[in-house]
Amino acid sequence: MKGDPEITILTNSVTSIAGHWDEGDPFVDEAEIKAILGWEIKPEGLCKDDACIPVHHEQSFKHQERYNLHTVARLTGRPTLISQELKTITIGQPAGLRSSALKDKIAPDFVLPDIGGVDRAFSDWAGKKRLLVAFSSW
Amino acid sequence: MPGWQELHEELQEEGFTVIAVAIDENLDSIIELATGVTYPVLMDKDHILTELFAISNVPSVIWIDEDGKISRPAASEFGTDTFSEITGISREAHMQQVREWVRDETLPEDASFVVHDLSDEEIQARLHFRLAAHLRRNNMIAESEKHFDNAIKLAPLDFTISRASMPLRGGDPFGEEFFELYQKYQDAGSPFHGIPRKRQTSK
Repeated sequence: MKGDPEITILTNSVTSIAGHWDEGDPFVDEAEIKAILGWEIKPEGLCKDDACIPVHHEQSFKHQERYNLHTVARLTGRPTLISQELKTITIGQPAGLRSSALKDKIAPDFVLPDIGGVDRAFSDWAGKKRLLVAFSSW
Repeated sequence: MPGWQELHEELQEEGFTVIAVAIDENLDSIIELATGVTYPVLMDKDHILTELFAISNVPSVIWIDEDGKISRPAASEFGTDTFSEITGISREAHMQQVREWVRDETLPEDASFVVHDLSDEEIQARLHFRLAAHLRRNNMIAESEKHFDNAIKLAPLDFTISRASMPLRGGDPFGEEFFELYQKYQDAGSPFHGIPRKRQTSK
């Protein structure tokens, strides 16, 4: 790690990591790209399982040995909201998961804490018919 | 939630479970609402589900089968008939459809409905909301307010944005603010990500 945390990342959790900003984009170490987004940087491009996305045509993909988190998120179908004044990037869910849910009727899995604070995956109840009820106190 | 509890108890021996997800960060209120509930109740304070499934209001109920296929997409369904006079939706018709799904694999006609995707504005609104909620938890109130405002500007009629932000900003989600929002929503033709309801004919 180089220096103090400089970038806060809001995904499904909150993390602060070392990095720097260049022209409004956050740059982080290679290992963080995989930790945050699950994609690895390889000579072929951004890879996950057998799939690779080419990156050679991307401007400002790499800067001072770090990688542009904004660009990687965009290429892997994740919406982002950048707030440089807060040194924060908010990264949404992969658009492909929602589109599979709506068009192909494939329910995306998710992990959330129960009211006792224990993380539970929706797939923990696979094998049952599940009535998913989104509700609130508001 | 007692209504869903009855359905859960009735069908739980037949390979069925209710799973409730609170689009909410008020754990105390949710624990209170979950009194007597034996099905899982999960907390989604960052509204992950509303982005994954394109949910724009609560309650939204989705049927998912043993293999993770969506059998019936999001619809407004209620565990009780408390609001049925306003909504025109009765709990029993839906609960009977759930029984038929669980026992006979029968699906209602509306199960094949395709819910429209979120717009770019609605996606960005969710990110602003998430950031605002995070900032508020860290007592960065002024910055938080700015992002709540941005979220509402982008998706003014999405209840998981507009109404959900009310208690987080010191407002009353059951007060005047809500009735104003509900009026605007109705005036706009009640836009909803889910199975549409026939509008009640006014007499």
